[in-house]
Amino acid sequence: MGLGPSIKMTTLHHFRCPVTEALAKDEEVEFTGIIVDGVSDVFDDKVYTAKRVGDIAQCMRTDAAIVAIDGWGNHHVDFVNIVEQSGIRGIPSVGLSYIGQQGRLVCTNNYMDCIIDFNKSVSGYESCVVGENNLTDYDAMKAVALVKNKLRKSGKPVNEVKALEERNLRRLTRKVFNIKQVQFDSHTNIERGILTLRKGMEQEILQTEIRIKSLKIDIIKPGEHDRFVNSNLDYSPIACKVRGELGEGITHLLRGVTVMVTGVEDVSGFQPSNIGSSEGILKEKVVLDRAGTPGTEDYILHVDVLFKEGEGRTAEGIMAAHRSAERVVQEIRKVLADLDNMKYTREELYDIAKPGKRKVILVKITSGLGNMYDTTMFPDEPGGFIGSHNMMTSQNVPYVITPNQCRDGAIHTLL
Amino acid sequence: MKLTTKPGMQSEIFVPITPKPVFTELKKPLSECKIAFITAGGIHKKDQTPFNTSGDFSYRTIPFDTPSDQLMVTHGGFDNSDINKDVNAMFPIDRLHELVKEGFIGSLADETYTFMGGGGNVEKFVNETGPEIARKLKEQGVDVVLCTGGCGTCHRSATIVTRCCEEAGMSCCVIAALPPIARQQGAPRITAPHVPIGSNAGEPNNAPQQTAIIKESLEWVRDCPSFNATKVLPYEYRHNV
Repeated sequence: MGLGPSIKMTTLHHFRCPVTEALAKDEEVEFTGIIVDGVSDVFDDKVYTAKRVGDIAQCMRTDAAIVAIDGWGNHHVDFVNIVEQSGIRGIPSVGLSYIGQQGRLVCTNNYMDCIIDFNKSVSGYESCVVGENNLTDYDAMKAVALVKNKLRKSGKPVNEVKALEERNLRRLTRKVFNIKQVQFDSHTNIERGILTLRKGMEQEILQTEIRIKSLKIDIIKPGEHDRFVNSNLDYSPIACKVRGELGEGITHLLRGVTVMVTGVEDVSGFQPSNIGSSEGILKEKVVLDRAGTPGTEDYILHVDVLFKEGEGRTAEGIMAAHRSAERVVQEIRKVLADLDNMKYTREELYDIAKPGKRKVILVKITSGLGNMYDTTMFPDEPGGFIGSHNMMTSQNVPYVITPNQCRDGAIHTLL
Repeated sequence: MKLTTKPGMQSEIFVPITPKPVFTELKKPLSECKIAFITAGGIHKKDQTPFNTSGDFSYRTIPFDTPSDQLMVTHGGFDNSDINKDVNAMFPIDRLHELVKEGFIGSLADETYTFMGGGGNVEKFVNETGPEIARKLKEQGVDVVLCTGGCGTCHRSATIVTRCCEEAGMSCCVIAALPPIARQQGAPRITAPHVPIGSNAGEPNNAPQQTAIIKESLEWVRDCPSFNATKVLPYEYRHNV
């Protein structure tokens, strides 16, 4: 995940990734795929993984790339290397990064000629407000326009092509159920837009989590944000697979409710964070309605974790918090999977091959430094954590995922 | 040359500026030199105020006779677990005392200065913190300054302060885990061991490796032919978190 709270891309952000949406709906180019590259903590590995991204991009016959990142400082070494390695292989790119004042590039190269700075704050410094300096739809729109401009400059204008028949490679059906109210009661249920959550799940979860001292599950009503919360670990969607694997088949999704995981350490009071923690009054510590944060009208399913002392700073502790939150979501998934007596909106999402059209890819640079800066890939359920593969332990070798896999929650961010 | 047509307009396109060369040739044998070691890696004494991890341009004064177990790290930009195991991985104070005893270096400064360079305010480091640390080291008669930095922006802050020391007439070297940053930000001399960010001075609890990295960095201060030259060191370490 991102370095500081204001730029961090949550699991929800990747699930609703603005660049993925902008590229997927663009009719002039083919959105060939997404490369997910982890940031390593050894310089040699940063260069190595960047070269592999270049190789993969070339094998995908990429005409141009959009490279997006939610870190700066050492993360920018990976960023500039990927742009360079793509450039060497004749692939022009548009960078998307937080720069401002604090994130000014620490190093660069001759290929680094186009970055969209998605800093949103006046000071140009990271803040502790989740979502404040997030990549938005507007930034994504600029990136797509600039990438077409770059294609034109490299002699591959998007309008001078002989387009052949398009092929649907994969279909993902999303059935979206609208939730109007969330409440506690004796058993978990979804009916007529009301999500009811069983009380007393905390103790069951704690029994198998030795790093967590206690757990609190809470429901926050829309607008009731004048309350203290601990440092944010993640925002994520509530969704489950009904048929097929991530990126295809059928997914059920709840709209109107978002999961928020927060945490603090016992005794020391340490708030888990990388650069700056985001504890405080909720309404002052989150910008709502971003891709990666809850909407103004959303209920928030709040899972607050009290780590045993020291465990708010270990990878295992952070993962235990994500796992615990997901066990709450699992309880909801059990009823969500079989939900058939409620109205829903149907969304059909396609991965489309467009022979003849220019091929554009998205490179997502995510953290894989280990400890608390990490990303995991391909959980069992959309936006989940359980069953996923850790970026750092796979040594940050890049993944290729389809746009639909991204939109079906294949990326989970830790902290 | 006029670069903008409208005042106050900021370009979204980043334009890199490599700073002007600074270079002070070392004219004494290392065995007669007074050495100081500074770090941007967020090291401070346990009884001192921790750094603000979201950006801090203040510094802490560390007497060189501080026992290494009295030191700790406060830094948000990288995995701190190596430094928590052994502070010498970033700030090799024990190794430096051994080198004095061995006669490899003449002496150590009485005190040194540490800061947390992650996300640091560039202008503050260039105009305030850097010159102040340089002046305080120069007043102690320091000849050689070695420096480490943890994360990416840390390497930048580390390089800025190192350049101030070089300008003040001391010969300096940045021991970099991310050498391209030190190079681009204009470090006078750079050594680059193959280590993860956060363990610039070598594997925790691996004294021979830490000693070798410091010795070769000191020798590079002596032998480096010109500004901004990098020497890649043959030491490799990877940590498993």
